[in-house]
Amino acid sequence: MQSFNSMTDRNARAFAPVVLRLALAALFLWFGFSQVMDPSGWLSWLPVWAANLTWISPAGIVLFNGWFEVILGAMLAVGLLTRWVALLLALHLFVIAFGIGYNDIGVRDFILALTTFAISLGGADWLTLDKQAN
Amino acid sequence: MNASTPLAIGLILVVAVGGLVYMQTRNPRPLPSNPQTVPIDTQEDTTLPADSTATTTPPVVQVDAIVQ
Repeated sequence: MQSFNSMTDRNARAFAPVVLRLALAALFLWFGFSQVMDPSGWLSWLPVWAANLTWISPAGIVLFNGWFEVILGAMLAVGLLTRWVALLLALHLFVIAFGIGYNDIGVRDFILALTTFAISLGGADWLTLDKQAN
Repeated sequence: MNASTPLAIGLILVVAVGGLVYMQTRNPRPLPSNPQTVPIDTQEDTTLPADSTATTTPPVVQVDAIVQ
């Protein structure tokens, strides 16, 4: 019984970083695709400083942000450059969370940023292209 | 196991989420809300009407109608 438990624990433990990575990839993909397919619907979330940052129109910035999240979300999903992609996404989410400020959505995004940063710290798990391609 | 497994899993996830968002964009419907959440405007109105305190007087008994 003891050996069965330890075996189950070992098997389950192996999937923990995989589930975490795929879940966060789905998160970034969902928000990325939503912005790419309907940029005007996300304009209200664009902070003023970001809108004034470049000559690009606000809808263009949302579109750029959406493609950034789709591409990096897809890389996270397949596990390509996992550590660096997760770090970039975490920094991206930290900026968003601080921009939103101290409210329910800001706290949630801050914790999600920390979770993404944890993936970066952990690096590539066994079910990533990083590990399987080598 | 080779590199095709994580590639397949990742691509399935990308297509699934992309398809979900695409269908939502094509046929926009409000996302399901928590059924336990009661909107403020449908909450029961518990405030008393302005003249609610004027109805506490007991009904007047018609003494003449009492049969001796």
